[in-house]
Amino acid sequence: MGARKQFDPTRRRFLSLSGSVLAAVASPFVMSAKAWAQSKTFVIYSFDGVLGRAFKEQVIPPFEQQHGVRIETITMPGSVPPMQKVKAMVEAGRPEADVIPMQLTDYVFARRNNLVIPLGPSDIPEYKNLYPQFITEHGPGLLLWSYGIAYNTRHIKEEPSSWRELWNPAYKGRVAINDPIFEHVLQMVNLTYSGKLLPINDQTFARLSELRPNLLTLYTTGAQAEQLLRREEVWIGGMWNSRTAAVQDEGVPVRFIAPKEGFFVRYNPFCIPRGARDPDLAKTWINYVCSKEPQGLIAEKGYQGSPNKEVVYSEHIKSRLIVTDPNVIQRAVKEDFDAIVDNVADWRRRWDAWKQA
Amino acid sequence: MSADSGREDVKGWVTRGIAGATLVFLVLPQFILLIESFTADNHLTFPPSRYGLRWYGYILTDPDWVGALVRSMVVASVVTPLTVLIGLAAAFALDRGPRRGRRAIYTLLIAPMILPHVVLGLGQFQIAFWTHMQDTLAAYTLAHLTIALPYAIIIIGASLQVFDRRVEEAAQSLGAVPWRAVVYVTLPALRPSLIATAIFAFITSFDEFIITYLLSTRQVTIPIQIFNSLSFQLEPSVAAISGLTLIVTAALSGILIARGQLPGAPQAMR
Amino acid sequence: MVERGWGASSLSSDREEVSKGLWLLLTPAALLYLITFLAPLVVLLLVSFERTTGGVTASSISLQNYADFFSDGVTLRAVGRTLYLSFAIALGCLLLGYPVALSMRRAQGAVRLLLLFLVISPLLTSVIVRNVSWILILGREGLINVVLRELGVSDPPRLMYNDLGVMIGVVHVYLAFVVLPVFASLASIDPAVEESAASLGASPTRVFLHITLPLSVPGVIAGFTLVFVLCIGIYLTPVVMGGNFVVTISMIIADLVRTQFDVGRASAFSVMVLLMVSVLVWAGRQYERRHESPR
Repeated sequence: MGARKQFDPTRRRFLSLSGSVLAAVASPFVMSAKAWAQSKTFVIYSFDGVLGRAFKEQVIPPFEQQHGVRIETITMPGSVPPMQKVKAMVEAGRPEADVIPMQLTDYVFARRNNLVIPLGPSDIPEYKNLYPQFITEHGPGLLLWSYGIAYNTRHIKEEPSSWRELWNPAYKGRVAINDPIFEHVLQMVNLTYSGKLLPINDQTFARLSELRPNLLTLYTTGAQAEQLLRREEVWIGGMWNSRTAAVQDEGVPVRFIAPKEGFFVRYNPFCIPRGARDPDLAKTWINYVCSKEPQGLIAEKGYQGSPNKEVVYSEHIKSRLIVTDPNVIQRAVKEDFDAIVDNVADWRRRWDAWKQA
Repeated sequence: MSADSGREDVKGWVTRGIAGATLVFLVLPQFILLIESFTADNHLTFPPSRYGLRWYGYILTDPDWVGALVRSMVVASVVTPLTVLIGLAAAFALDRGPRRGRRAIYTLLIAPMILPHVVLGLGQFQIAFWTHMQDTLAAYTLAHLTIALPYAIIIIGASLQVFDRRVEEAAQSLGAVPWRAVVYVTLPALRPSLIATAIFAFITSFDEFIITYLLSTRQVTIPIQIFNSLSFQLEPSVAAISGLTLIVTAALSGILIARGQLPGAPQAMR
Repeated sequence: MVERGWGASSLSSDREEVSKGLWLLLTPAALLYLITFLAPLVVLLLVSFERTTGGVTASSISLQNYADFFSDGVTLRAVGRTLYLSFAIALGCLLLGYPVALSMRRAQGAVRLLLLFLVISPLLTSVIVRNVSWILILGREGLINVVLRELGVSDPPRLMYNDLGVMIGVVHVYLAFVVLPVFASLASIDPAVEESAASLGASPTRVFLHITLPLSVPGVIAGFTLVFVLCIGIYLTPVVMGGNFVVTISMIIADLVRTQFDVGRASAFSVMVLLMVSVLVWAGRQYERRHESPR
């Protein structure tokens, strides 16, 4: 016969092979599903990487046992919730998860589009143990992280104290800054030269252009930032504390400092979408995550600070993270997130224009 | 005469040189990835300080990775033959059909390739969500089929164009019914392009990220799994999955050799 | 020269059957596209008239998104940059890929399959992972720089985090998309034609320039157009290989969806890109038609 017959065996083989592998892999899932048929299922969004694993292995199991539920996690790619999808789902009345940890800018979007339910001290009793500045109307802000300067101690002997060090000509081609959350870069430039975060204008970009000869690259993910530090391609840059701490723990000679002009601290509000299947369980879960032990675990394993006053950090983590010190947290600058969300389109355009220049 | 052949030699060697350098260029990152896949370190550093099968073991036992692998394989295995069949049919219709409107239909058929996947995926998500089909392998299959089909149209179309229809017509004049002439004469001649299409379709489906990501929730495929692990950690698991893909494909190619399905000169001519 | 199909089979009932058969062949593709392509496009078109500010979408219809495409000072520039890169990359793929296709054609059996495997091997690895490898090779502390430094080169040129890096990264993966169509075209050429020309005294170069190359032109155009159009859609590679300094139109669209929650604008920009590329493809097809062998 012609060519068509010759294709069949390969195709059939593919499908039957896949079928048997699928059956083999699926059977444990089917069996465990039967076992779990007794208990309730509760769906939450969770993180990828080390943080997600910390949740899965240490934070989730005690809650499952205590409340007789099974928690199913949906990993958020890049640890960022798919807000467009969430909006579509909430508006259709069927959100896929009951708890959504958001970024502060996502939270503005959620608030303005009425996607999340308000939560108060009666819903989350643990609020009484949290620093009030991290409590939002729709959920507690957990997982504190900060943005400052990371530098390589092998190549830079004197500890920098100012953001202006990034502009130092001695570091030509050895500086990296971030592309995501680029509003930090713009506000940082303003802070350094005018002492105020806003407004972002031509002067901001003029000063940013002066940084250009020093810049090696604008990194896009935390993993990339780590890689740049680890391979010592970059000696100094605007970096996130958690990433720097992770690389430090590998033995790479880097340190994180909070520059004197000011630095940034953000957190993730844990919210419940409108139309969630089990809002009461969601509140119980959030309350649990806020409490001392889970927060302590998250700090140790995930390098994230906690808003809970009662958390006791190990010396090791305290040396690595600046967000463990309440005095330091007070010194962080206050960002206006509504202004950021309003202006980010315009800033992004100018940022893209600056990049292409 | 000797000057001529000298120049011919130089031209021959230049061509071979460019081809050789290009092949090295093509292979270098995969080669490095293959080495990296055997690292026993926690991160991707070059060269690795220790070697082992640690990360291969990880991706073949970790439920997230295995699930992603199975899903990607299943979807790609369905998408590939469908792409070849539907694409062949459409390319044929285009080639043999009326000249008028051909350009428009051709452009329409390859259009999914042109639209940025980000936006196509978003539109597809809306439709899938509306029909309760989001996060299903069936939805992924349809979406991948759509972006793979343009390759079929282009590749098979190009081959059909240079195909000398006189041979097919000769078969017909010898008494063969038109469709038989096509199956026994034209199809074998199209074999290289059909295989090329199958390869492209499989790879397109296996490697497709953004549309699948937009359609997915828990049914994670390999590219999404890689993206998940890479945005948080530069884990060697991604090198291991690359190594696995390379090794498995090499093995499959070996099977193809044994079964005699090499892309070859038109068999009808031999 | 034999006429195209319609003239050869003379019976009109045959012709009708063939015509019906041909339309039937198009049906699966048409059905598929209706659900997975045309319907989403309609949705996108409708959405492109939505205006979103500060994360909230207004309910009124507006053409402002389209106006912004031309007037915001960044998008057109990104489009220009994208077209320039796409052309350079497609050309690079052609110049490097044609010799490879020739070598594949000349090779036999297992060698040919080996070459094929090498050519598509970049596609077997995920795009994100590939770019990570390139950092290890082209980066500041990468393989090449280390070697260059050993050889005494003090200020090695930057092979990455710029336009060149993007070109290297994309040519690397899209080369196969030129090699395969060109190879398929070359493989369909009857060697007897070339052999007879050679036996008549033509030098290998003449045979190549006057017979092989012209006959492979459909494959060349198909490959070039394919790569050119694909390049317009790249949005992951420029991020790593271009150090984020290279901004393509697809990156802008992706960002509008993922971080700015502005689907309306993303849709409008995509419609513009679709129009632009349709024109390019149409132009490519015109050129291809002129090189079609008369039948």
